Amino acid sequence: MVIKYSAKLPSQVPPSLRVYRLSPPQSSTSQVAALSKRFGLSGKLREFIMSEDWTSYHEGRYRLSVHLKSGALRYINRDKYGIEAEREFKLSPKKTKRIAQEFLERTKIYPPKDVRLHKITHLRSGVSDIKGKNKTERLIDAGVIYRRFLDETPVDGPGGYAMVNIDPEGEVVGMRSVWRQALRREAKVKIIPFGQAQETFERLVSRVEGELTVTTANFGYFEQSELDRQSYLEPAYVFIYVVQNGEVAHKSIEVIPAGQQTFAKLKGSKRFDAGRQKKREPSGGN
Amino acid sequence: MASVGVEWINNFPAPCKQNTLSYCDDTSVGFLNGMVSRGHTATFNWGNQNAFETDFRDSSLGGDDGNWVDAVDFAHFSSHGGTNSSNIFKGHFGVQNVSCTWRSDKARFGNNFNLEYLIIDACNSLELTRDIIAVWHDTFQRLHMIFGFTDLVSDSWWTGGRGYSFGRRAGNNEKLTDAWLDECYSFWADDNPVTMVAGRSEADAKNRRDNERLNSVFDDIPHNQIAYYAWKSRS
Repeated sequence: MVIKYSAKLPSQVPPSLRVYRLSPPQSSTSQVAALSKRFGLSGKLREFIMSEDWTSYHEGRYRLSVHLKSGALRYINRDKYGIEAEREFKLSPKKTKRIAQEFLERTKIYPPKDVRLHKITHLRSGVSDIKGKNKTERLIDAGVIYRRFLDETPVDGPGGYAMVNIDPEGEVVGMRSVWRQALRREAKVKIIPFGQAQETFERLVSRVEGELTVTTANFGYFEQSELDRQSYLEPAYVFIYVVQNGEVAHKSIEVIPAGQQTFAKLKGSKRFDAGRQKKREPSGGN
Repeated sequence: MASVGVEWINNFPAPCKQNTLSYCDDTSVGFLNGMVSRGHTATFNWGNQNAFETDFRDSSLGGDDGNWVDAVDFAHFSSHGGTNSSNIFKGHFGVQNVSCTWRSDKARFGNNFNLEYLIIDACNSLELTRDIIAVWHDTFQRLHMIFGFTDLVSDSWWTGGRGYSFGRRAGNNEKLTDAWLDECYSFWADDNPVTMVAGRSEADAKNRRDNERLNSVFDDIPHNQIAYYAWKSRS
């Protein structure tokens, strides 16, 4: 197997880093109602929907939801989020960024010094007749993504971000984030050098067949997805890679703890156990 | 209530040799669990050596889809996949019964009036750099929607919960396109979900794409009445 690195490798890694204890999710009805005021809602209505995963507050056309395990947040305008308006999204990147930035500053959800612009994504639509002669493709919104920084260190992973959705009229019609608040400093850990993490990574993928290209190799704090509980924010190296094996390609991810001391597992067990299956007798078609 | 069938493959021994995947069971079984948690019915769950190519191939083309994928309302497939330059999607299996791959040009869904929604949690399944209408037009035989990905999609623990999250929302009668794009998009892993919908007209295709829910009243469209396709993606 050949391993190539198309990613820029982490060049400056600190010798040590603080590990943070994280706050539990703020997902009770009173906490969600209080949070809704930051989005310009009154928080006074009693329209809550509780599910196994989310606490959701409805006021007018707005819905604010907080995830019970992670504290992940989703805010949408139910009439406008994801809807293709008559007008295509044509705002300039500069104006788009300004609208998203002002929204974050107004809501004061996250400390401005910890928020850095990552990229602008778009919801895209297409329609075509079956011959492909009348084909139209448009942009519907902008999803402006910000990444989290803590003590000037980037937070990597499926969490540690906020995305602000802006419609063609320049209105904020949605926001989602996974951003667990730091509660206190727990410890300081020494950081293993990148080369050591690289060796571990290359050992983990040594049985992969084909040409393996590392497209992302990052160092930072690692924040889990919105589905997961997380008690500590600790450092990790992230490797995202693509494998081309003949005509078949796939993409996968490995996360290697970067601290000499670790506080929690960065990868859990299977979420959904398929169980053991009784062997099925081959059957054919006709 | 919808009936749900899932097929997933992590292991690909010879003669179907491919690299091992790790979380196709998480995405497929997660979807199944999400739907069942909302009151829908699990009809089949075939994994690894129990997942067969013939379950996806049309009965008229030598397959057995009328007893499996085309006999449920919602099917989920998770494995290796790819769309080639001839505009044919191939999904890979771990056992050769009869072939190691199912092909889009051998799939005809909804022609026994059943399958309405097909999820292909595999790389390049709705590949927007190819001609997705050429790839999938013949497959839409009263099928309503395909949910897939353009470019590669990650096989990882950190993104493997997408099937469950989508299943919870789809099963809760939320707008299907919104649910798919919200739950499967990952800026971190660069996973870019797509939905594709058939319609009798441009307006009909867009309306179905933007508003169809599991319990909505959109009817089945016979293949010869499909005039337009609409799609939506985030990237």
